[in-house]
Parts: sequence; structure tokens; C-alpha cells
Amino acid sequence: MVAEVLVAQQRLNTKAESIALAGAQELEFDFDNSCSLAKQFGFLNFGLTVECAAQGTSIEISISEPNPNQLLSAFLPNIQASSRAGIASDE
Amino acid sequence: MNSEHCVGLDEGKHLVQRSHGYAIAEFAMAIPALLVIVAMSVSLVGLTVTQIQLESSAALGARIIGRGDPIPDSFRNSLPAGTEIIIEPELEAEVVQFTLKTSKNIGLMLLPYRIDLTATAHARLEPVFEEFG
Repeated sequence: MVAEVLVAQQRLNTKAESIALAGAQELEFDFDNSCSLAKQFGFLNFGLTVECAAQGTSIEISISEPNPNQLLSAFLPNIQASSRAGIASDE
Repeated sequence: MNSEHCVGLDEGKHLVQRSHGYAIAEFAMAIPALLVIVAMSVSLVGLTVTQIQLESSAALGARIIGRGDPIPDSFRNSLPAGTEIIIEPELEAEVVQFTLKTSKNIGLMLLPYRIDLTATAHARLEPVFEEFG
């Protein structure tokens, strides 16, 4: 029960990281499309609706999924994950 | 009077001793059940930890492949023994799918039972720039 939610949370964390990294690839050369690309990547690969905010040299995304465990979903209906990625600094 | 009193005491002692015996016998019967429950709990915790490790490793592996790097030996050695690595690049979508498959024994010594664990991660393929000079 708890293990199921823990594994689902870990999966969601890795999805958030990959979506943020996918969006961050566009930050340097196509800043305006970085969020739309992150949203597209999240939808096509994971079927998720992505909330995205690109600021300067970084992009921050947050996603959520319904709790896979029916019993625990009464207390915790959704599990959430967020991730931030940016352009590597030379300093 | 005295003899009756003594008889009563003796009977009482006997009864107390017999109930102690029952408690020990019941405890002895419960020990295997308790051990089975503890072993199952430990196996489930181990299973969860292995699954979370696989998920984390799959994400790392997908990122390595997405960068265009080969899988290093240190990564392979960090995986549970017998883990299978499946890499499926989707070049049109510029995405790589990285899957790790392993199996873990959660049964007891007399009843071995293996469970298959799978973890999948995706990463966007990064553009590769050829170095000049």
C-alpha cells in the first residue's frame, strides 16, 4: 500500500526530471518554445499535463497524477512532483 | 481442616502450573507464524527498495544515453545482479526509452518465489555537435 505510493512518487519524480531536462535543452537557443516543448514531451511520452514556468536561464515544471492506491487516495488524492533545470554555468 | 486446606493449595498450584504450560505451548505455536510475517515484511521492504533503485537507475541511464554517451561499467555494476538493459531509441521523436528488468526472490527457503521488476524512463536525445580541430 505505502510501497505502491512510494514507487509511484519515485516514478513521477523521474518523469518530472526528464520533462524539465527536455525543456531546458531549448532554453539557450529557443527560449520562447522551451515551455511548449516541455509540455509536448510530457504529454507524448507520459500522457501528463505539465505546468511550466521558464525564467531566464532555468525552467521549472510541476506535474501531478492520481494516487494509484485506492485506500490511500482518500487521504492523498494526488501525488505531485516538480523539477527545475537550467543552462549549465561556465563559472 | 489442615489436610483439606493443603489439598486445596496443591490443586491451585497444579492449576497455575498447567496454565503456564498452555501459554508456552501457544507461544511456541505462534513463533513460526510471527517469523513468517516478519520475513514477508522484510521481503516487501526489500522489494520496494529494489524497485525504487531501478526507477532511479533507469532515469540516470536514459539521461546518459540521451547525452550520446555509452553506458559506463560503473553504472552496470551498480545494478542488481542479472539486470537486463533494454535501450529503444525513437529517432523521429528524438526520445530514448531506457528499460531495466530484473527479478527478485521474495520467497522463503522452502518456497522460493521470484517477482519480475521493471523500470522504464524516457529522455530527450540531445543534439550532438561535432568538435572542430
